[in-house]
Amino acid sequence: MSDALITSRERMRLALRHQEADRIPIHDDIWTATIKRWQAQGMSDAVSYEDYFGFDMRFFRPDISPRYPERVIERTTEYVIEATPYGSVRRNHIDHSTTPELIEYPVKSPADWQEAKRRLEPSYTRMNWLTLKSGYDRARAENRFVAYRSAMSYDQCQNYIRTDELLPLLITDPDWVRDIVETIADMVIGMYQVIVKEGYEFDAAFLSGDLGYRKAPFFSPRTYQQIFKPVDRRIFDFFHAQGIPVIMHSCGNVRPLIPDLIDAGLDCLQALEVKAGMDLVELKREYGRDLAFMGGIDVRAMSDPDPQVIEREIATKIPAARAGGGYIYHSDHSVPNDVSLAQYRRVLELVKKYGEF
Amino acid sequence: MDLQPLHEHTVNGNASAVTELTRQALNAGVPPGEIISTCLIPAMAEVGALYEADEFYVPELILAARAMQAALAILKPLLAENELPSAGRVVIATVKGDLHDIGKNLVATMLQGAGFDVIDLGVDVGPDKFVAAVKTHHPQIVAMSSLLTTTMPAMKSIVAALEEAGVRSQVKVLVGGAPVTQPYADSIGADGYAFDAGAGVRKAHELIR
Repeated sequence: MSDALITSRERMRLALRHQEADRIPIHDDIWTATIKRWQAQGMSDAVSYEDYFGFDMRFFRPDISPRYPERVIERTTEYVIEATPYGSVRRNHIDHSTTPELIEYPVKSPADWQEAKRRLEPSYTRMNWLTLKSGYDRARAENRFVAYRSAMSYDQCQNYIRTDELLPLLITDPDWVRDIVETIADMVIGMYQVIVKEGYEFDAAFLSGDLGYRKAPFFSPRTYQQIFKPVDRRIFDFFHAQGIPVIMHSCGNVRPLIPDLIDAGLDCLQALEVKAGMDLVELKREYGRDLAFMGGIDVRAMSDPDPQVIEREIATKIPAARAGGGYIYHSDHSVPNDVSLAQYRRVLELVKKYGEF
Repeated sequence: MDLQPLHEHTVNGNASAVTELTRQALNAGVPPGEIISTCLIPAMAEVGALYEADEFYVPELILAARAMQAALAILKPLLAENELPSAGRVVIATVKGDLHDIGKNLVATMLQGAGFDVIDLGVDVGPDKFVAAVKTHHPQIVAMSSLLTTTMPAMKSIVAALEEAGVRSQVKVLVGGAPVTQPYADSIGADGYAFDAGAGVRKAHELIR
């Protein structure tokens, strides 16, 4: 089959239904600093990188923050310190090229949480309708796969409470964390309903729910089962009732949680960080009947000066992952700025070569 | 006095029980240094082993470290400086360009729990500050963390700066962080690499043995 006979939308849908198409679908996240480097190397700045590379998916996300006032507190030639809509203060590189340092958090007590919670109501004003309409109409005209994107679960809790305070709360005050997670779920679901009511249709929900770091999940499978799984199941059930699958992003090694994620109803797991031990081929072998995968191609191999390194990475993983459908190409997180534009173009050539059915 | 309950509550991260049992031990005449060396440090070693075996996760690790800190807050003021059991001194930071501090904080906490004297320089620390800290604090170990592939090269610069300042031979360099591997550690001339916080403590002990 050629690209002309099958659209991005059909390609993605088939992959998520564990069926083969013409080739595996392709999508990627690319750091802002990388885009800037590539633009200096000849990439057009007139279109988004999704359009430039012809990626198969388009995302639209509402604002599910408590909408505290945003402002720039300090800007230097290297850094920017900002007050965020979550009420936190963070410092990041001027090009937002890394994980930020969170200097101040909004929630230090249950009373702080109640204040933030009062601000969390689904609302028509939480969507940029102009951006949605123009992007959505274009995506539909191009037959792209359109996903509703949001953060959820533990990942979103970290916007409110500093991680090293939040993690102990899972043991010392699980009811409080459960309340936060349930409130976030209400926002994720509520905003989807607000948008759909205006006539928009989505092909999937793409939800960021970081659950792990390099070594392991942040917390035990038992903690996941007790606090997060019931809420995840509620979210997944909701989207399934709307007729769409759920793709979930998580950094880190979440392998011990996969049986529970499948049981809760997850359809596809992204991004499969190689440096955290997430092995795409092993995951496909063990869970590929029940779960689709997106990602798992090591960004470190992309920047290796030896071109054989990335070819080996792709040639050994993608043929195994694509078999029977159920796989979408993505890097194992986001493409860093030590990968040149020429190196990335070759990545996509190799993905198409080895990802063809 | 039987210190086993104090050991168990430390492992289980029950700070209020640890506080109470530490006071009871002192009232029973157990010297503060003995409480630390025979009970608290072994308890944290057990926590580290449970963490490495994936029986404990980060929440349990943090709670145990806090329980240990609660005991130390009572015990340390009672110790003369030379009585304080110390496994060694470590200067720790994330390298220039790296702003994420959770992993580094975890390693620092575990090192403190294991009896190390930890000088935490914070995040985004350049070679000059590492060199200055070595000259000021005279650590046995310089520990550095990088979260991103793009900030890993800063580790090499720091090792070079320590060489240039003539202090490299005075310290062991321990590296870690999400993208860091043993081959990378070897390639920049680090003395040790640790995959996680538990391994970091083990490696720190090895390096200054």
